[in-house]
Amino acid sequence: MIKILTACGAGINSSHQIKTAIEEEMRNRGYDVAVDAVVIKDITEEMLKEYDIFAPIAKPDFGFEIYIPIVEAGPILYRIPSMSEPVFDEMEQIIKSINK
Amino acid sequence: MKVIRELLNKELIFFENADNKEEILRKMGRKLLENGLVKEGFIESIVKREEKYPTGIDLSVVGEDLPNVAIPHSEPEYSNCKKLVVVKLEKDIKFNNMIDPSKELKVKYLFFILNNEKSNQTNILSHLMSFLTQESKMKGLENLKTKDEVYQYLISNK
Repeated sequence: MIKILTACGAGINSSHQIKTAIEEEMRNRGYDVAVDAVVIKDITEEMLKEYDIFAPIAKPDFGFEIYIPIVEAGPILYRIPSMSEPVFDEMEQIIKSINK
Repeated sequence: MKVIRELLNKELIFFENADNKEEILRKMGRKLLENGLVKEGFIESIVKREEKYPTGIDLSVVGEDLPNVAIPHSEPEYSNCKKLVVVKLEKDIKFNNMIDPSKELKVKYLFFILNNEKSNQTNILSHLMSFLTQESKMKGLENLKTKDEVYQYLISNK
């Protein structure tokens, strides 16, 4: 099971849409993933250690190092394949490299 | 579109002019506050959020020469309702790109998303996105001259 954390700024639940899209697409591609969606300001260094991949809308500046792979997932929000496919492909490559 | 029709009122379409994003956010914030659609604190919240988590959406990836948009919104606690507020700008204003905040975009339309529900069921964004990412829809919007035309166009679009 690959654990993925996504995050947005709160208000219109964009991270929840990213969560649903990633889960659906990665399962279709045959990967066992679990995605949690949180508010960016609630993320801590400790929390990130629990995950394999961080997939925020856009790369945030936390003031601490992020040691897990980051996939910028914002393009998924367009809900058009030309934007979302490259994100899913990048994620698939990382999942393969994690090889869990 | 059904969801957009439910979220939109005729009086929530505006044609406005401002010099920069903070000015238009404050101007619209005051109007929404006067109408009772948002609470005290909304203006500061929306201005701060736009700085930290920008909401500009680049539509050049959808089609050439399409106007860009921004979707300003605040935390649910500052909103009294679930509504969409549409602003057509007389002249473009620079916003930063939601998915690449270091980049600036010239924005012509603002779709303020007012949302007072914290639940995960809020999918206003996905309905809005399905409109914005159809080249013909955005081109059609560009041809409209009056607020009433914009309103009719947005609520009748399937």
